Amino acid sequence: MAEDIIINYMAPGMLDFGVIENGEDVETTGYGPVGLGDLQVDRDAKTGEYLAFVAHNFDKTYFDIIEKLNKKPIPYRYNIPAAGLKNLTLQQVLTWIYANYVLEAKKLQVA
Amino acid sequence: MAGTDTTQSGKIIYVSDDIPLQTIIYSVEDILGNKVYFTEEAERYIKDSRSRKRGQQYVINYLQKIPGVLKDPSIIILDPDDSTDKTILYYKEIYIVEKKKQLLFTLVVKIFRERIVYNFYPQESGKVKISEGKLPPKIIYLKAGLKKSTYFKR
Repeated sequence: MAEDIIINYMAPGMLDFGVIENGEDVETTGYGPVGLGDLQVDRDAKTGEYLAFVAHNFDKTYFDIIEKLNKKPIPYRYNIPAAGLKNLTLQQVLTWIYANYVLEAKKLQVA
Repeated sequence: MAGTDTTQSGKIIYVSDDIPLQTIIYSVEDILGNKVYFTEEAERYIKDSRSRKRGQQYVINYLQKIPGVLKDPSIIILDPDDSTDKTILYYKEIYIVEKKKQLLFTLVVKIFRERIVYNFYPQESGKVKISEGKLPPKIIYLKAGLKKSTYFKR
């Protein structure tokens, strides 16, 4: 089942996104490295599901993260309700964020 | 808040072309003697980030611990994924009343024209940030009596 996510981005590269809280008291692992470079993951302590993600330098590390994910895909799917997008892979989520936050910010700077 | 300097509170500062102007809430002198600012923009970002993600709402109750993390961290490293060495990661254990246990927290500071707090979140115990295929992160501070291996369990 795909989970709804919320995205927080602060230029120049602080990306912080994850599954929207639903009132459940979920125990998580805390963010930690999972072999995806700059992208650290906070997981459900019981199920291991990837619930939230943080990258400190996403404007520079997007391509490296995607390369690592292509070699080691994860099984979870996510929805971006704010964009009406459903059942996305993590690569698709990250690409949407890169286009709509990082590249948008660069476009504004050029303008 | 103990250990903070609020004399510049409300002052708006320019720190970079890359980010909006920042409004100071307080500054703190960190363990290494660097002045670090906590701003309204960072507070808003951290509150919004933590309060709406599953399993992280409790963090909002601990933002007052940020000055303590800067003044008395357990370990400080340079972010291994920032080749410019402008991202500094402070780690400290904080007792969480709701969970009745200590959890490790990360405080992210970015260096622009000034040093600005940029994020605050729970870190997996014993697993500070490393990056596969890169050199181990540079440790710039380790509290006396603590072991590096405590934070780099694999």
